[in-house]
Amino acid sequence: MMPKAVFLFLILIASNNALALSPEEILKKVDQIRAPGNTFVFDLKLTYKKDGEKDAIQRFTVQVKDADKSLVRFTYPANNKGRLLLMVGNNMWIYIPDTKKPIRISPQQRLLGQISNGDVARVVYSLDYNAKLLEKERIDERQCIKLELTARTKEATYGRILLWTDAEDFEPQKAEFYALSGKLLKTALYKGYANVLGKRRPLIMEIRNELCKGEYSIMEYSNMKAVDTPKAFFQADYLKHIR
Amino acid sequence: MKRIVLMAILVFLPFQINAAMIEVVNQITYYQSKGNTLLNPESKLVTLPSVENKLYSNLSSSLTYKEWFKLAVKSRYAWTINDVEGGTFKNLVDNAYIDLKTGGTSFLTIGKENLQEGVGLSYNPTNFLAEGKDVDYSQREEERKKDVEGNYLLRFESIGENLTLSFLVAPKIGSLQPEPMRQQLRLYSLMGDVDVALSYFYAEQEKLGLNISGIVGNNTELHTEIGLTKGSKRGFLRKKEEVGPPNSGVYKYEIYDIADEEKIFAQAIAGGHYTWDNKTNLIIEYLFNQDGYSKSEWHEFIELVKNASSNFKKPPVDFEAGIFKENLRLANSLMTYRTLRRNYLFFRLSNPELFDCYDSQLTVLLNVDDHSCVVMPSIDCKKFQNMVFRLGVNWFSGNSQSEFGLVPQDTEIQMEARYFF
Repeated sequence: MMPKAVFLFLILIASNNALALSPEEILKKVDQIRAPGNTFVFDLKLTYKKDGEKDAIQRFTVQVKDADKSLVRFTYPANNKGRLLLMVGNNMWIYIPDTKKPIRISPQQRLLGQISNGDVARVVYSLDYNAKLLEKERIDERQCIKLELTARTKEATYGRILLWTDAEDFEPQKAEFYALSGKLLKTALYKGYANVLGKRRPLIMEIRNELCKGEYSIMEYSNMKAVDTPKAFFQADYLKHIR
Repeated sequence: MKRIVLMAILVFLPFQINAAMIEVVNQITYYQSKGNTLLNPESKLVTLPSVENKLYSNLSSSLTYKEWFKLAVKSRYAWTINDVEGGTFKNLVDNAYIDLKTGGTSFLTIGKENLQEGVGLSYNPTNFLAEGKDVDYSQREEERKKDVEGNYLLRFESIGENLTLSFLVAPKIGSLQPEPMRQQLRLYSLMGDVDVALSYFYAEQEKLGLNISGIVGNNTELHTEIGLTKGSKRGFLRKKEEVGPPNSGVYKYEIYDIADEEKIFAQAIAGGHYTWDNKTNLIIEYLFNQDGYSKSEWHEFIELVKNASSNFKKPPVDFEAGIFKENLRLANSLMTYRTLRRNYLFFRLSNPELFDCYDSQLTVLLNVDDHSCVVMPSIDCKKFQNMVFRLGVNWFSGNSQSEFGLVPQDTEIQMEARYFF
């Protein structure tokens, strides 16, 4: 057992560490953990689970550039293979092979279960949300900072997010996502921390549907690499030429 | 032998086969005939099938070599059998082209390509190149654009940071591509958060197209698409000559075009999508078709059809039904359902995950001018991996002198099983 005094001392250090930074800076630290740099690629497995039912699985390869540009390639199942989802700023297009025509969609349109296009295509929060520091709370024995993120634009996927990050290393632990109406839509837990590209990063995000109990989705990140994808790839008209 | 294998490995090793997909579909359609319509009186003009089975497979794949070469192929093999015509087999090639990267962001495409244009869902007034190609209306709106036979063309596209410029030529190639030469220049730009595409199409008729789309907030997409065509595409029916004895009152009909080829005709779509938090999606579009029949033109057309129809059912003394049959055949050839009149409204309410595994939608296309409509509910069951089962109904409603009231079927019921490899 850790002596109480040592524990309090650690909390104090952690608190000082957090207090030295503004909420926006804390959010940037969280983003740096979730996104390894400005330009990278990763594979994503999305599993939708519901009590008593067979899991539904989708797989993607995601290329990210400059935080606000993402290209999502659908790789599984067979009927979605070859589809592309492009997000540039708040603009989003879906490209269905064989039509050569990107179709504009809204970020609200869903992929599977509670996972929206924005959840897959956007891996940082600081671009879309303003941060405000709330109280400190403990989650699973960890002292956490609670941040309130409010949407900067109407195009942000959520109206408000409550985010709990470790007070010492800013590793995100939990998030609650709210609609503009204020309704709690889903709760996410950041899990599976492992050393990837020089930092401990969460490779699993477990998302519970708060509107429908018993439903949850798991996002598993793998093969994260720092790769510089050409800027041209992130243009709607380029999609039909992607190899 | 070893040398051949080694050479084959050396030649093919750098190539990569991507996104190879086979889709096998079996679709059974039951048609409930109206039995008696103005265009097919007492079903005596044409015997329509009551059941049809369509088995088809789509094969699509691509072969790439690094970034600079891509060979894409998509073909459809369809075997159709019904209780009137028996069996027919079709092999259609939608895509068979080579896409070469000629520079950093410029490409040259050569071959047969299904190139779709337009931001509308129900109809695309700027889809100039694909005009005249068969569309399978038994499929959902998005799928209809995927399974369309391509055009032989040569296309150059240069994608800049703020502007994309593309130019294509689809030449006349004997019986392979009998259409006159078509050329299209297209400019596209993302202006702020709005997509803008402008195209100029040059063929027998000159056309200009404009597409604009953007999002408002997190849930709403708005779009508009405008196509301007020099000259009309519409054919009209009229009395050509009186036949039989003088003052018989019996006429042979003919089809004629509007003579004014300089007049500009506009077709425009305006609409949007709204997605609720529970994934339900509503799409509403309004179509204005200046090239459709006006109220007086439609009245004139219907009067001619009524006359031909009643004379076909009961020919006047000394006349044979053949002349009236030909008149009705001409009238039938003008029936371009879905764009016959000037004003249409399209609604689609869908939810991709109703009870988790059912992709359901209710679609209505309303002819605002005569209040006839087609109602299309459908449901896809996606419970099984790589398989989709669909049940869909097309119900045509309207009085006997309205657009959808003239459709010879009352109801079409479709059952479909789709398997993806």
